[in-house]
Amino acid sequence: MDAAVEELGRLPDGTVDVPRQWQQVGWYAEGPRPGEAGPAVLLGHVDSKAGPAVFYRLRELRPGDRVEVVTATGAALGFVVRRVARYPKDEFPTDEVYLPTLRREVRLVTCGGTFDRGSGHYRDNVIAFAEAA
Amino acid sequence: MSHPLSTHAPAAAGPRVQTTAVELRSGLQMLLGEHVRLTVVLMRERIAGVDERTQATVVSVDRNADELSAVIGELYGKDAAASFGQLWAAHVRQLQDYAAGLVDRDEAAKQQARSRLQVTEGDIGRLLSSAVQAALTPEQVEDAIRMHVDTLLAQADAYAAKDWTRAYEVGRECFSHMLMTADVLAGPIAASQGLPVTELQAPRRLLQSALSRLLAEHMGLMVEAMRAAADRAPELQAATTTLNANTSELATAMRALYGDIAARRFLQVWAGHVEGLVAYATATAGGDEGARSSSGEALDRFAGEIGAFLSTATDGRLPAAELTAAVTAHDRDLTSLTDAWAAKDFSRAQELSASGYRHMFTLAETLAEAVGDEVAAGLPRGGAQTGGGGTVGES
Repeated sequence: MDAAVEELGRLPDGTVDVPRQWQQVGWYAEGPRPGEAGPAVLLGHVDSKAGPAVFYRLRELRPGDRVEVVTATGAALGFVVRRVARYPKDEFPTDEVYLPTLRREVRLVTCGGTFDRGSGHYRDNVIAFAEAA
Repeated sequence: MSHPLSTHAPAAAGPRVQTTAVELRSGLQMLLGEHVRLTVVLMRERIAGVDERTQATVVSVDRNADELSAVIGELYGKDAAASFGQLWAAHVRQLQDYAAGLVDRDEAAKQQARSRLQVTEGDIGRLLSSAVQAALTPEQVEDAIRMHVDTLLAQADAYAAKDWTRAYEVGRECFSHMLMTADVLAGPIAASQGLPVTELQAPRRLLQSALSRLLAEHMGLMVEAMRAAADRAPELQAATTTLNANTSELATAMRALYGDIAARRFLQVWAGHVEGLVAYATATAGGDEGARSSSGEALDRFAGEIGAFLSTATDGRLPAAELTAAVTAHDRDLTSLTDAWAAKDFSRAQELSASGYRHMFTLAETLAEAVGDEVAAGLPRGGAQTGGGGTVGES
């Protein structure tokens, strides 16, 4: 899949904002950019009520798969997936995802697990951890 | 227990019973990294013919080897410690034989030392592989030690050829590779002791490991640059260039943690710290009391600025006054060892160098914890609402 990237911040309740559009990827702009030292966090929806969204197949990623981020200047940055894991949102691994590292890394975040019809949200997040190729 | 920022107490403690995988990794990084910095110095002293310092360096190399054997003993018992000690002593002796071959321009002696080093690499590989119950194959350990030996010999070749730039660049590679090797060994060794290993990959502990490498390397390179300045040696330029590469990497770490503006500020105060120390060594060698005194004042000023910077960066989790005192203690280690060189008290110089180097590991641990807490306080909370349809249907 191939998607455009928008900038995201935090919401007033301290949670991370998410992309406005189902087919768009969001970059958490208070963290590093892809290609800089540290974990660049990219978020995308798994689905909408109408069907699959941009990160619908994120959970299919496997260690060794490649992810490419193309910057505004057209440079293609390659990353290799190290692991993909699912976490309940109330046990979200904030340190693992956001805490700065000194390596060039990206995290791809979407939803997964069971859907809570009461809240209208999935209970889990699926996260792919990737490092510069 | 001493305060984490206090200077010398933890450093003087030497090897101790390792109770967590993270402590084990940090201890291995400290001792194996120290082995690299000491053998690099020893080989260079042999090549340069600086006999008056060499005895003190040999004592330190042996002390480091004894401490490594003691760690092996704590982990795997007396017999393993004795076997390891013999192999490690052979490794150190063969490195010196190689340096002697370089001095004598004796290709056969160099080749013989290289061949013997390779045999020892295999023996150490088998010993450690068996100790970790084959969690690492003998070949994996041997490859790591071979890379260590190859880089040590390559820096010695470059040093003998007066290619200072290459000698320092490869020396840096050698240090960095050894700390990575310590990291690779720590997991299987910890697992062989039944210690939980997941904490090794925790972001704060990875930050601690990365800061340990950068700060310990800073200390080692600082000693080398000040020694070159004190000796008015032609390698001073290469030593300071390498030191600047380390500073630049530290600034990259600050950028990752706190962004561009903080990184630029850090670079400014840290460069002042480095330049002040080299200026002190130069002034001491030249007997210029005025310059010694003004560089001392500059060092105190930069220590205050680094303390203030790190205290702000950790949102006051580490008090500025204590950080300033820690940087000042680090400066004192380095200025006192310059004074010890001038007084030809080389044992004292080695002691200061070792305690200053070891202190960097304690500082890295303290900083990683405080930095982690401060940065974590500003991170997004909870998960991301990145789904709206309920079409995935996983259970």
